[in-house]
Amino acid sequence: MGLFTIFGTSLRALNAYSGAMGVVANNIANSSNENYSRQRVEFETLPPDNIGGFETGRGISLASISQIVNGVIEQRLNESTQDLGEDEAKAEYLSSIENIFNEVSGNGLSDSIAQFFNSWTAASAEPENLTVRQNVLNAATNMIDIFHTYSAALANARTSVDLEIKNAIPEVNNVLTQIADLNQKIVDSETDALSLRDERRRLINELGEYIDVTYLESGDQMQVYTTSGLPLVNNSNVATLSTVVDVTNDNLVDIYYSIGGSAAADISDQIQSGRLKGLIAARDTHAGAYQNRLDDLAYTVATQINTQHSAGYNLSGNTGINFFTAFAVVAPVYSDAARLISLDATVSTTPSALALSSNAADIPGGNGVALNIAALYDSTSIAFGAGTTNSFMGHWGDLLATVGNDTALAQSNLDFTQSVLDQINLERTQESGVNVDEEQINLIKFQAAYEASGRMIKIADSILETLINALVS
Amino acid sequence: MPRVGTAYNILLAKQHMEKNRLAHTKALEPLATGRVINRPSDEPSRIAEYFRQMGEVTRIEQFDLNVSTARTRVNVTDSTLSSIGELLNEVYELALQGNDQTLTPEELSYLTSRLTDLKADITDLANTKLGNIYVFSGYKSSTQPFTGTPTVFNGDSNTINVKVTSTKQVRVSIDGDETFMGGGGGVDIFDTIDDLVTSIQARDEVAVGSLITDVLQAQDQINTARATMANSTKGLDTAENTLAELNVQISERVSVLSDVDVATATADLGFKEFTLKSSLAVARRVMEVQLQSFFE
Repeated sequence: MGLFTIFGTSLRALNAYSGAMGVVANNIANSSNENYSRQRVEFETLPPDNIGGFETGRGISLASISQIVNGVIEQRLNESTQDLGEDEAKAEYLSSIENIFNEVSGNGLSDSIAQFFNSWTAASAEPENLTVRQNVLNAATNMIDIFHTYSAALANARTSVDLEIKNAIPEVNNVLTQIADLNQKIVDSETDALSLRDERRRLINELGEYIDVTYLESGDQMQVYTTSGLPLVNNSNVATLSTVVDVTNDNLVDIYYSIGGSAAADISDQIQSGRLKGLIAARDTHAGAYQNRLDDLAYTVATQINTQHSAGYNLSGNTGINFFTAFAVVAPVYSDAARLISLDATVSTTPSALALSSNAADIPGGNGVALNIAALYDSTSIAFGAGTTNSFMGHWGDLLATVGNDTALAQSNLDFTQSVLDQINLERTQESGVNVDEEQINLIKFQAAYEASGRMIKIADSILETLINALVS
Repeated sequence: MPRVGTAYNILLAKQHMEKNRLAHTKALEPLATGRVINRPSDEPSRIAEYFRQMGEVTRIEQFDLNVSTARTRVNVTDSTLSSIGELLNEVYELALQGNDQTLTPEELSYLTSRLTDLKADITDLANTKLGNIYVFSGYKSSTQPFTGTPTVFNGDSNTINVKVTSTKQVRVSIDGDETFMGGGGGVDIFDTIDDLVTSIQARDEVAVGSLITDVLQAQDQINTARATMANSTKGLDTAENTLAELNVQISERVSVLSDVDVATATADLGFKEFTLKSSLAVARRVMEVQLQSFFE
């Protein structure tokens, strides 16, 4: 081995261990970055020289820097992120919707319905008493106000969800574009582009928060699809999502999909997970259904009372008077009833117009209609517009129970999904996370090797100096 | 051997701290509000029953008011009938006195004058109003029931019933026509007194004797009406007791459904607080253990 060979071998070692310490430094710097996948250096022994029939080693070089990524864990993490997005959206909005029904305070619809029928019971005891009759109108007005409040709050909640859907779509499109851009950058990169791959995985998870995705990482390219197979990023093609107002759904939006100039198609029903799925479910499956049942209650209260009231006689002997304004004939019959319910103009400011008597001859002391209306409260065979049979309080109680069950289930699902995601995050941290202790040991090891190589150069230099001095002298 | 990333313990501690803090907050709420049901999702399976029972509490309050309203009306009716009964006793005594051929003209005049006054008093009582309502007019409660000479009945024979529980109505009026005018086979109290005046003035012993029998029947009519009101009072007493018992039962049920068990809730809060403090302490210890610490 020549003396100068020592310089070359040591220099290559210095470079290798310097690079390795750089990787350690990068790992330590990213030790608290949840999206970072730890990097590992691979060394290779350089092929030896053949000097005079003797094999002489040429030292070491940095063969590669790789990431420790477990594809199965990454896939599970992405799937779990999608589930969490869906469950978070549901839990957030259902919890908010649940608070609309301010019943526990005692000033909600339960109390107002009971007070309304109580006022008819009181009126039946004193049908001639205008003050008692006015109390019926007051109780009805209070109940109507609460129907209006709940209806408006539900509509607002649905509009809020709708707004979030509208705002989410540009973000999804932006993430899709970023993934496509990263694909191209990774293809164009002269290195393994490890940080770009980390960023692409982060974006896939960000995408998964919104919508169900599956992906295929092949070489430098990542193809992204929805779980129903619609391509989202396919080589250079990037899908575009958009929103279109649906006039059949209270002018709320549907989600449309197109790619490569294809005609946009409604995919609202095809979204299987992610926040968008949770938002659509909260807006339509839950809040929409609650709205319908609230409408049905308002419609049925109004029509049942009107049926009795219009058959009665008021203090002037008039009959055929509605208590509540009759609803327009639409389908379903209870459409928008909670928003529209109001007192009929004939009775709204005129207590004497209340028809409490069963026939004209019984005025003013007749209370047959008042008793019949009061008795409706106890009836369990009230026919609701949707075809169900229940009492008024039973219908309302069932709706509250449904709201409670849905909210509790959404929260429970969220807790479960969060636990699963937490566990997967821990697994990912075990697999791909940086262990600072481990890195410090590596640092000591690489530092020692680096220092030893440096010492070799110094020794070779010393030997060389000795030789030169001997020649000179 | 599985490796552990440095972030693992921190992440684990963070996850548990968040969970334990949330659990601690949730454990606080029942103690702060005194209720285990603060929103439908707290007890979805019980919420429908809870509000149904709360509705019943409100209804009991209304039925109590109805009992009070009905009792006032029954009491007024009964006390009026009682007064009329007393006046009829005097009519009966005057009729007995009037059936005497030895009475002087002055005595006869006094008797007939007193009988005329008594009829007026009875008419006034029969036209008794409670507020704006004529008590004996039936459904025609704004119409004065007894007017004119001879007296005619302007009301109707409908009886007023007041709903005092979800299944029970109590009668709070009597049939003015039947009680005072003899509708349905009785005697007309007003005609009887008028006839008494005429017969006494005419010293018609046979007629007066027959009219004394009618006065007795009139007293029976009043007593029968009073018995009806007594029955109503009994019905109201029963309803009041039923409502009181129901109120206790429902209040107990509402309490079971919604009220917090303070001892259990306090113990639960203590446990959650202990768990939270433990997880905070563990997190601190975990973060201290790093190789770097031993180099320093």
